[in-house]
Amino acid sequence: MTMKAIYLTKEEELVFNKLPLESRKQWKVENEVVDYVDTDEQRKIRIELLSLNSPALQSLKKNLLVAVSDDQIKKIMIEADISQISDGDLAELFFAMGPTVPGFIILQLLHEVLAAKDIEAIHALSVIRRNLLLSLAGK
Amino acid sequence: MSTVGPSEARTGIESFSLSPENIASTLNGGRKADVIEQNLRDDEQRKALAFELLQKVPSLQKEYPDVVALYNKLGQVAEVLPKKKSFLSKTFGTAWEKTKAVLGHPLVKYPLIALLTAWGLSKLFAFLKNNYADLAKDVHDGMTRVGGAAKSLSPVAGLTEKGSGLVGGPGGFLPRSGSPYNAPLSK
Repeated sequence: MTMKAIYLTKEEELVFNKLPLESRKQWKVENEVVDYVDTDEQRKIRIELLSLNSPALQSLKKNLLVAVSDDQIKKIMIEADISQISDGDLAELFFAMGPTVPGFIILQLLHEVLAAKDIEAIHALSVIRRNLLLSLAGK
Repeated sequence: MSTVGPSEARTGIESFSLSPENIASTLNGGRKADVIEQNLRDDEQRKALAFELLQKVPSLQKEYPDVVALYNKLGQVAEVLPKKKSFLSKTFGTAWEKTKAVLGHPLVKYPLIALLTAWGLSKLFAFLKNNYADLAKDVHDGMTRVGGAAKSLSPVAGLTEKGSGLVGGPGGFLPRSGSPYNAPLSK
């Protein structure tokens, strides 16, 4: 069987190694070692370059721009349906937010793995994070 | 360029093709990304010359604060744009098909939407409302928001129960001490 690489931090690897062997036997952990520290300034610039095209997000943005209070914003966000977000917008959002968010999701998912196929999801996010880290670190 | 003086520099800067409206739009609002990217594409040589002159004659920097600000902004953007292109290229080029397939997985989709919604998008749109001072939030603050939204959004049993990942607690979502993700997001 060909083993596929999954890119995890040391902390994530500890959780991964506690999964049943059957779930993880086709995966080879490669440590995520790209050194990049995100900053507000960097994030600000990335957000400025954010380009969203999904009608759902455009509509959401429109509603938010006229909201006048934090409570209103919160209500709009919670009620929003962004399940139809396009691939391009999702990639844009990942870039704007940086590597921390997929990192959180990976750690979360590692604690919630129920079946071997769940690791496919973690793998995909680990690839997105790796691409983010490599790109942001200029590699 | 090595012998340029104030007069030549002033002439160079005044030949700078950006209108005051364009600079103001770039710096203060409007469709920032589009304007900035367009500015980067347009008249690159002329802008490069103007900026170089500006650097060589510091006394002029006080006369043209908006050009200085634009110069700084363009410098930052010029640094980030290739990174964005690199990410999009890497992601769409290699992992995206696979990623797309798994993003619909309920384990991914709903926590992801919850995260995007509660933490990411609220920050993004707060920024778009020119209210980005609070972008300097740390991880724990972000996670507090995530917990509330995840309860509302996630239909995945177990993800948002007390003590589960998204709401923190033992074995949960909040990074442990020493984790690289435990560092504040701000500088």
